[in-house]
Amino acid sequence: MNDGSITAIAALFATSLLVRVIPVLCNIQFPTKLSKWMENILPLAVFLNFITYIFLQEMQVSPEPALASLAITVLLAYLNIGGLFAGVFGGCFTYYLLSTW
Amino acid sequence: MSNLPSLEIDKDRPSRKVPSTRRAFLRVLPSAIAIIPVSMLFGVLAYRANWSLLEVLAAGFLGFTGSGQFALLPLADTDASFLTMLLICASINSRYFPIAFTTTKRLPRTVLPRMFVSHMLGDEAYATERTSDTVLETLVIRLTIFVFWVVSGVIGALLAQAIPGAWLSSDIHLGFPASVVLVYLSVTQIKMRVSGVYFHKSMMIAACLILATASYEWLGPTYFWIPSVLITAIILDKWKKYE
Repeated sequence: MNDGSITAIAALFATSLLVRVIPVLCNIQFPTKLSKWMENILPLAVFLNFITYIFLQEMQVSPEPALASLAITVLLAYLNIGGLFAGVFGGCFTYYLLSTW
Repeated sequence: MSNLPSLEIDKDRPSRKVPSTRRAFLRVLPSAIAIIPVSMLFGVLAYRANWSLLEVLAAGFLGFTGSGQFALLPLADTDASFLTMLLICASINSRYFPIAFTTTKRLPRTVLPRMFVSHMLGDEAYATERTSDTVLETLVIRLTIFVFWVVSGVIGALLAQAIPGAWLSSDIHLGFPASVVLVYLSVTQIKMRVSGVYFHKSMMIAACLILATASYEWLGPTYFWIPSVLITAIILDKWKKYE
């Protein structure tokens, strides 16, 4: 065991406590309006930001293959063609094909 | 035509219901499989940075955050302080703070199980879960992703002993399948959540994506999460009221 890795593991665990465990342990009673906002609006905002984040992160690694393959995944998911496996296979196949071409 | 009677017998049998936990497991399985290469890559890199198998296991089990684990590898190598690591890791994972609040209703009520299930919250699990999921279904979804992640990390570290160093310098992007899964699940969730609620969906989604991109470019990938999620949520709320 080295000090750096132990400090890193401690920081990772402390982060999990801070961002995932403490918010659900503090049994805060939110007003109904805020509660509805957190159940409906907030997740939608999170998913829209997820998509933006992934597109921009992947485009830094390999712009054209990432853009094309993720666009195909979005299309397959939107049209619901073939389910998750088809969406993932379509996206990954396009990415690796364009990356190696 | 002697086979036909068996069909009639089947028709008369009561339909066997698949248990909800099994359905939840089958629902999360593709995502769990997709994260295997990412976690294995962490195990390989950690092993090459002189982490022991026990440390790789502990990082996965106690940390359980893809981006955070990768980010701390070089910092651990340079013996950065606990506070520095905590600040960086908490910033990267700050998105879980609002996410955790939205999932409280499907968590166990007793303290320790509640803590454990909330610790296992991950992006893929969150994108797979539904508002209608029971506590048990939520547990199955999170535990599946968690176990796949932790075990794959250790397997990656074990494989690192046998993998030639040259392989790791190749251009294969092993983390891409996990990104694809997350995009697919996010689109499915967005489609489900906007349907019947908003009328000008395309325009609203485009506006939110442009705003999130601007926030990302302005604040950077680490610090854009909380402000961008909150501003997007406010826009979505106002848009709904305006319509």
